[in-house]
Amino acid sequence: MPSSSAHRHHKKLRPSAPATRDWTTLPRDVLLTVFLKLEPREILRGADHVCEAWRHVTLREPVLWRHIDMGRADLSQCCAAMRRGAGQCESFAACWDSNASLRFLVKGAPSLKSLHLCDANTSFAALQVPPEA
Amino acid sequence: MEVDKGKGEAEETRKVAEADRDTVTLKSSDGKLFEVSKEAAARLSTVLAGMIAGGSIDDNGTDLKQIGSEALENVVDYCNKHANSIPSAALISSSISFNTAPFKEPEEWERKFVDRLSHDALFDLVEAANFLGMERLLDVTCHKISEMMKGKSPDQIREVFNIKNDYTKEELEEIRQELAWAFYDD
Repeated sequence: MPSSSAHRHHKKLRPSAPATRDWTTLPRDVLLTVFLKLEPREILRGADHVCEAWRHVTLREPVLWRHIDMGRADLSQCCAAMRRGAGQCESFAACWDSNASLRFLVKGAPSLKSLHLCDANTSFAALQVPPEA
Repeated sequence: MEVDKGKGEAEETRKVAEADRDTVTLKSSDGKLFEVSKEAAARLSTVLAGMIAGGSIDDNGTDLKQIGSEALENVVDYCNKHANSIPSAALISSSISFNTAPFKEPEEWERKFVDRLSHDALFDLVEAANFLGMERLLDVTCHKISEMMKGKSPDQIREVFNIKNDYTKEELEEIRQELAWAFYDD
């Protein structure tokens, strides 16, 4: 058997062994495909904090944060999602109870095409985009 | 095995025979052989399509050293039984990119196909699908994995996938800080 396959030997060929696969070693593309099937708020709440390898993907793939529906997540989480999107966020939806500034949307999502907010208390004045410089 | 012996006429005859066959033989890392429909393999896997087109298919079993027999059996099973209803891998990957991919929900049989797998088998299959460039199978297996994460806390997810928490207390605190920090970061 060629030596190139030797390093894989420990995790192959054991169909009936107890769980031995190391899920932190999934290829980056595979993890990205998995995470793309989760809502951004779901990622922030779970997968993001699981291990360093997974977090490496959630922090460095703006594509995960293009379409953000944060539900009732708080503003800090919304900002975190937006920041990871690195300016690529195209749609944003959220529902929160605060009267907080929405300036982060203006600054953090220059490509925003769709916005859905549902709270009467929200300060929509903050959404006014400053005049073009 | 007669690996380097048949370089002459025998080799030529074998190649001709191979071209006429409508199946290809794949060999797992542990040396087991599997027959798969050539048409389905070419349609569902960009890598196998390339090997078939490039003539690098071996009649004695094309070596797939990255893939164990259990995973390869699942791959072959997926191709042979269900090829007809699935669009070409090449067609899918050329027309879409990650962010715009209109993911078609797994069909009933695809769900059943991945639901019966152990976690280890699912892991091996997703790696195999990735290695072979099988867009749809990758999508279906990744969908299953994402469902295993839904609605779960980091601790619960670690439990499901048997992942050790490799964060120190300090690092976890740092992660929590990131979210608090974001609040003021405008």
